[in-house]
Parts: sequence; structure tokens; C-alpha cells
Amino acid sequence: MDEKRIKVLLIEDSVFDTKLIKDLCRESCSNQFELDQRENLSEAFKALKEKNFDLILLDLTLPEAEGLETLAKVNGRYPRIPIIVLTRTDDETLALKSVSMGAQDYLIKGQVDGVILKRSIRYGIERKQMEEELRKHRENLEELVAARTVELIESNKQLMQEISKRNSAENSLQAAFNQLKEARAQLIQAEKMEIVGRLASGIAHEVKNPLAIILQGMEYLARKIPSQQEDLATTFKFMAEAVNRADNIVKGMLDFSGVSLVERQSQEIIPIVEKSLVLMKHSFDLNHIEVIRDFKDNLPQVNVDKNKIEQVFLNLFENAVQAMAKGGKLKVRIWAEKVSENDEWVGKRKEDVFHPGEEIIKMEIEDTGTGIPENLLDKVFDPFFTTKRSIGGTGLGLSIVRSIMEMHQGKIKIINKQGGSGVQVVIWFKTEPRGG
Amino acid sequence: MLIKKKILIVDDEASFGKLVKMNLEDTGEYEVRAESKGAQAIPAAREFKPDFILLDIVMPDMDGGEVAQQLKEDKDLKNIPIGFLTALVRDYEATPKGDSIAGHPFIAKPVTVSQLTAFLKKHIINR
Ligand SMILES: Nc1ncnc2c1ncn2[C@@H]1O[C@H](COP(=O)(O)OP(=O)(O)OP(=O)(O)O)[C@@H](O)[C@H]1O
Ligand SMILES: [Mg+2]
Repeated sequence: MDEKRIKVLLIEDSVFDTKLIKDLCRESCSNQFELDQRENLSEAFKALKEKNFDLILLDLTLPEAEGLETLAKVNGRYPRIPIIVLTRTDDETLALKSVSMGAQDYLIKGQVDGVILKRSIRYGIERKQMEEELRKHRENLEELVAARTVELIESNKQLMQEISKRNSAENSLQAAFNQLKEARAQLIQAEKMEIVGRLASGIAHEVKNPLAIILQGMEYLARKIPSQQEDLATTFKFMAEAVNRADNIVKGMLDFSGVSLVERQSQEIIPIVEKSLVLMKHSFDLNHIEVIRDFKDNLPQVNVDKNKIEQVFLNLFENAVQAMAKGGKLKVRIWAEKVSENDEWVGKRKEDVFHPGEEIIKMEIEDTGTGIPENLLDKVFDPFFTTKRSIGGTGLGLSIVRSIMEMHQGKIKIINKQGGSGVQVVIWFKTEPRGG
Repeated sequence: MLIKKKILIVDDEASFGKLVKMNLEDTGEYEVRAESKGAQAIPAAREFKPDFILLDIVMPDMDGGEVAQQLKEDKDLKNIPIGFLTALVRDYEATPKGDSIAGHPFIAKPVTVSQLTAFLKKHIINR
């Protein structure tokens, strides 16, 4: 039933003043206020503990510092309860100080009547409520801000992650770009090859026909001109050699360009090597070259165009023979092996041709010939590089060989043999899965 | 007395045909007729009745393949053996594999006289 009455705590040590305030209350609003009075602070705190007061009337007619201290203590402990300060003198500074320290209002004893008191109390409570709401609102706001801050931190984190993702995406983009560049280079190379190819068949026709006429013409002339003269015979020999050389160039170009048409099939590698050795047999015998085979059994199959691969071997054997003018040994080793990560040409990336653990066929072709001067080693695969121009070399042999190996995703390198003269050719083939 | 083999050579390079004719005839073993147009091949074959016909593959008016086809369809001429002359294949492709074009042997240009006579000897059926 008292719920609607405003509970006011008066902290006042003077009996006179207490009576004054009580009278004022009764005069104007006795039924609206429930007034309790305590003489000092500790009593007041006790009362505050027991009862929920709506407002505190605090007497400041104590010595100034003491009074403000009381205000600070009360306000500090009960910040939610509005406080109205009572003073005896109209001391503007003291009043303002009180308000700045949290008091809602200040009233000067003697100048207060019931109406003023009542209004001051009501406003005090309302203001406090508003402050309270404002405070709650602010707290709410702070909570919101805190929540938002957490969210922001979170999204910032995500952003950072995104940035790092983006960075790695950029990296892979760069990698892709590089691959593209590489592919483009290969494409240009392929295109060049195709042009060479188209040119080659045109050239073959346009050059071989005149060569054919020259050759027939020379043979005719050679018979008709009395050939006691040695000079004439030599001249015809030179001409025949020149025709042969030009013809070899054209053949080389045909081979070089024919590389793009591969017909691959799963098959054994050894029969292809054997066939090439048979085709070369005459040449080996003529040059006193002993062939040593070291072929392992049970090799996996390779997926190759056998004519092209035969061409590879023929070119390599031919080079070996030419390097062993005074005879020698040609050793051919073939075996299968699982490659390891540390091997040359092996990598884990998708674009690597050989991957660790993959079974491949390795070949070594060794001759006991002249070897290759170190400064020329990196030139031997260049088209038209030859040290045999005088005996009809075109310098296309090894470039054809390399193109063919690339077509088959194989690898080839040429090094000088360690210990003793001669060349070692190393070849790697991809293999077909066993038991397939 | 040796009976000369009759060879018909059809090649758009007239000078080549003429030189082949002179060279082969100089051996004393062949009688040669040279034609420089694909379309001339059939009438010339009818008239000359060769033992062997050498056909250049690439010719502007009618190529060697077409000529060979027409010869095969002609009941009087279909039994005459044919060989192709070509500037487009490598000789090693022609020899060790003994490959053929449309069932006919071929020989690559440029060709020496001795290569040519060996080729002819190998493919002319003795009658
Ligand atoms: N086994 C080898 N021993 C010594 N030198 C070699 C060997 N293989 C290649 N070479 C060198 O590499 C060069 C290039 O070889 P490549 O096969 O490309 O052309 P070529 O043999 O000169 O001409 P072609 O192959 O047309 O007859 C050769 O001229 C030679 O100097
Ligand atoms: Mg070579």
C-alpha cells in the first residue's frame, strides 16, 4: 500500500532543521512522502540497507569539506538514488560543486517552502530516472559497441585471412600465368615446327626435283666427257657430294617436321632398339664397331611411335659411328627403375614429367669415340649445329631426336663419359602401368 | 640377243624424264619413252606397250595416283607393273621396309642411275 508513496531519507543532525523539513512535508504533501530521518552517515547507511529509498535529502550544513565528503560517500555507495542537498547559506560555489558531484538539486533552508520541496523531490527523482535510463542506454550502447568491436575484430581476422588467401591465389595465378607463358612459347615453337613442316614438304619437292635433274645430268655428262682427266673426275665427285648434302638437308627437314604426326602404341622397347641395331649393322661392321648389349628382362611397356623412336636410335647410333672412325665399342644399356625425388627431371608438381616413385625405362648409349668439347656440349641439340658439314652432316639429327623425345614426354641428355673418351647419351622413357 | 625392257616414264619435269631416258638407254638394256603430262600416260601406254611404268606422284594436271588408278581400271594396261618416283619420301623409308604406295613400290628422288636400274630389275616381271 505504500508503493506509491515516495520514500525519502533525510540525513540531518539538527533537530530543528529536521522538524522544519518534516513540517514542510506534512504541509504540502504528507500523503505523498514517507520520510525517514537519520542523524549521521552510519545510521543512514543502515537505513539504506533496510529500505529502498527513492531519494535522499542530505544536509550539508556541516563544515564544508565534511559535507561534500558525505555527499561523495553516499553517492558513491548508492549511485542510483537521487540526492538533494540542503544548505543553510546561499553559497553558489558549494551548490554547484554538489551538483557536479552528483546531487540533483540544492535547496536553501529557510527559503524552501512545501511546494518547492515537493517539486524538487519529484524532479530529482525524474531526472535521476532519466539519467538512469540514459546510463542504461549508454551501457547498452557500450555493450553494442563491444559486440560490434568483437564482430569487427572477427571480420578483420577474416579479412586478413582473405588477404592471405588472395595473396596465395595471386601466387597461383602468377604460376598459372607462367605456365601459360610457357605453353605459349611451346605453341609458338609448335607453330614454327608446323610452318617448317609445311615448308619442308614444299621445299622437298622443289629442291629434290632439281637435284634429281642435276644428278641425272651429271651422270650423263660423266659418261660423255672423256674422263682421262683426273680434274674432271674430281669435279664430278664434288658435285655429287654437293647434291648429296643438299638432299640430306631436305631429308632432315622432312624428318624434323614429320615429328608432329605421332602414332603411339603400347609396346616393348627392346624390339625397337634391336631393329635399329639391325639397320645399322652394316655400318657397324664397316667401321669395326663392337656392339655390347645390356638389356634387362621384364621391362614395362612404353607408349611410343615406333618409327619415330627408331629414328631416335638411328640418329644416335649414326652419331656414335661417326665419332668412332677408327672403330670402337658401342654399349647400349636398358633397364627399368623407380625414380626418386632427388633425381634430375623428377618433381612433385603436376607439370613435372616424372614423379617420385614412378617406374621409368632408362637407357644409356655409350661410345668410345671422340667425345664432345665441353664448350660445344650445350649446342649439339641446336638445329643445324654440326661439326661434320664436310661429310654431309646437316646438324638436324639431334634436334630431331630431341623433338621426338619431347613428343613422348621423355628426356634425353648428352654428356661426355667420365674416365676415357666418348659420349654417353642418357634417355628416360615414361612407361605404361604393369599388368595392364 | 638381249631384249630391251620398255620403260614409260611420266614426270612433269620434262628435263628429268629426258635425262632418265638418255641414261637408261645408254645402258643398252632399256628403251624409254618419256611423257611430261599425266593425261598422256594412258594413250602413251597403249601405243608403247611398256614393261614398266614410272610415275611421278606430284604432277600439276593429273597426279601419279590418278594415273595409276586409271591404269588399273584399263583391262589392257592393268597388268603393267608400276613404280612411283617421288620427291617427298626419304629413301630409307623406301628401302628397308620395302613399303609401297597404294600397292606399288616407290623410289625417292634424287636417284642415281644405278639405283634406278636396281629398282627396275627388282620390279619388272620377266616375261
Ligand atoms: N656420339 C657423339 N660423339 C661425338 N660428337 C657427337 C656425338 N653425337 C653428336 N655429336 C656432335 O654433335 C653435333 C650435332 O649432332 P647432330 O646429330 O645433331 O648433327 P650431325 O650428326 O652433325 O648431322 P646429321 O645428324 O644430320 O648427320 C655433331 O656434329 C657432333 O659434333
Ligand atoms: Mg647426327
